[in-house]
Parts: sequence; structure tokens; C-alpha cells
Amino acid sequence: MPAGELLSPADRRAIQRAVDSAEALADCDFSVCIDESDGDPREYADRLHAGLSAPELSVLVLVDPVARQLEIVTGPLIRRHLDDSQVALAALGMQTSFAAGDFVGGITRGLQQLAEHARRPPTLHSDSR
Amino acid sequence: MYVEHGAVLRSVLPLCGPVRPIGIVVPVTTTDALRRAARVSVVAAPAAVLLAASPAFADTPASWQDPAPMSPLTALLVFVGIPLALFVTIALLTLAPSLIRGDRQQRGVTSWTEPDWFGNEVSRTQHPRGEQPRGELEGGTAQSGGASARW
Repeated sequence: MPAGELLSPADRRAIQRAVDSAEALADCDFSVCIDESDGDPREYADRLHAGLSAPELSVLVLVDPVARQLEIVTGPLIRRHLDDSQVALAALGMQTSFAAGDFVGGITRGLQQLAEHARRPPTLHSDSR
Repeated sequence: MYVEHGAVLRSVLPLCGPVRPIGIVVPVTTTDALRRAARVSVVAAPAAVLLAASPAFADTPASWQDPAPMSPLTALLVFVGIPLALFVTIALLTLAPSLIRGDRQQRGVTSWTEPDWFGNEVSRTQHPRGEQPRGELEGGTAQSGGASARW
């Protein structure tokens, strides 16, 4: 199925806006990939994440609409602020939205939730400010 | 209310020796009266409300006409049909957006032609499905985390 049948131009704009605002909020890279997994979805997501320009500082969200599988991969540096339980919570919300047929809403809300958790708290008592 | 006790003090202070007479102001409040009024109002307020509500128990005015008896069918329509219609209308309005989306999304995706990226993306040459050897793309980044879900 071509992507155009699942996502309208408005949907694509909404997802792109969500990615941009998540990156602005969390000061790290967010990537959303909608694709059919080549083999095991987790391994495929790991491979995609490793191929990003800065995987340590990147969050990859892989949505496989064929296998109905969602994979979120976080880089080691992001993981200091965004632990796996917080990612699992966001994934649960996305899963619920996807199951209800709200594909775009699930992605946008999931990104927002991930970004809010990944946001580093401001250092108030630092000389570097 | 304030009472000047200067006169009393002037008569007492000479006994204590040569002291310059001064005036002292002692505050005397009416707290007792206030408390009494509060107690009365606590009892009086509910009583006043009950007394004011008593006309509600009155019969309907004699000038009002008796309505025509309602048939069971009409009663059923008014008390069951209308609420049911409202229920269905509100449910439809609530579900309409997801039904419209669902028509497009819940047909079941059987295949996906090419990856759709948003944000930072893997270049086509480095993509795991690309023609280049996977090389460093094999496996995930060390100590990467995340979560999985299925719907």
C-alpha cells in the first residue's frame, strides 16, 4: 500500500509538526518511520536507528502498519533522561490510539509524551549558563 | 468601644509616689453580643429557608385545567423514544470522526511499498533495505533502549 492511502497530506503535515515540536522541546532528534519491517521488527528498528546521523541523541519511532507493530528505540544519551519505563508508557498510549483507528493522533501524542520526558531539566546552579 | 480610665488612675497613682499622670486607653469589645447574634442566625437561617419553601407543598391552582390523559403509545414515545433518539444522535456524533478515519485505516494494510520518514531519516544508501552492504547497520547501538507494542 502506498503511504498516500493511509496518510492524507494533512496527516503528514500533522506528524511533521509533531516531530518538529518534539525536537524543539527535547533538544534531540526524533525520527518517525512508517514501514514494513524487514524481518524481526525490533532488529529492523535497531538497524534503522543505528543508521541515523546521531543515533546516541536520537529517538526512532518505527510504525509497522502491516505487522501492526510499534517499536521505539532511544539512544544511550537520550536514555539518561528518557528511561525505558517512560518509553513504554508512551508506547502504551500510542498502542491504544492505533487500536482505536487514530493513527495520526497516536503518533503525535506519543511524540509529545516522549519529548516531555526526554526534556532535560534546566540547570539553575551552573557556571555554564 | 474605648473607655478612658485616666480618672481612676489619677486617683490611684498618687499612692505610688510622684508620677506624672497619663491617660491609658483600654479596648473593650462587644464579642459577647456578636457571638449571641451568630448563634441566633445559625438557628434562624435554616428555619427561614424551610418557611420560605412551604408554598412548594401547595396544591396546583384551581384555575389550571386538567391535561388530557396521555395514551401509553405517546408516553412511550416521549419518555423512551426521545431519550433514545438523543442517545443515538450523541453516540453518532462522538463516533463519526473515528468511523470516517476507520474507513481509511482499518481496511487492513497488507503491504507497504516504501518507507515513509518524518524528521531525521536514514539515507537511502544506508537504509537496511538499500543496495549497499549493511556493514555498521547490523544490530543496534550499544546500550540503546526503548519499548515495543503491538495493536
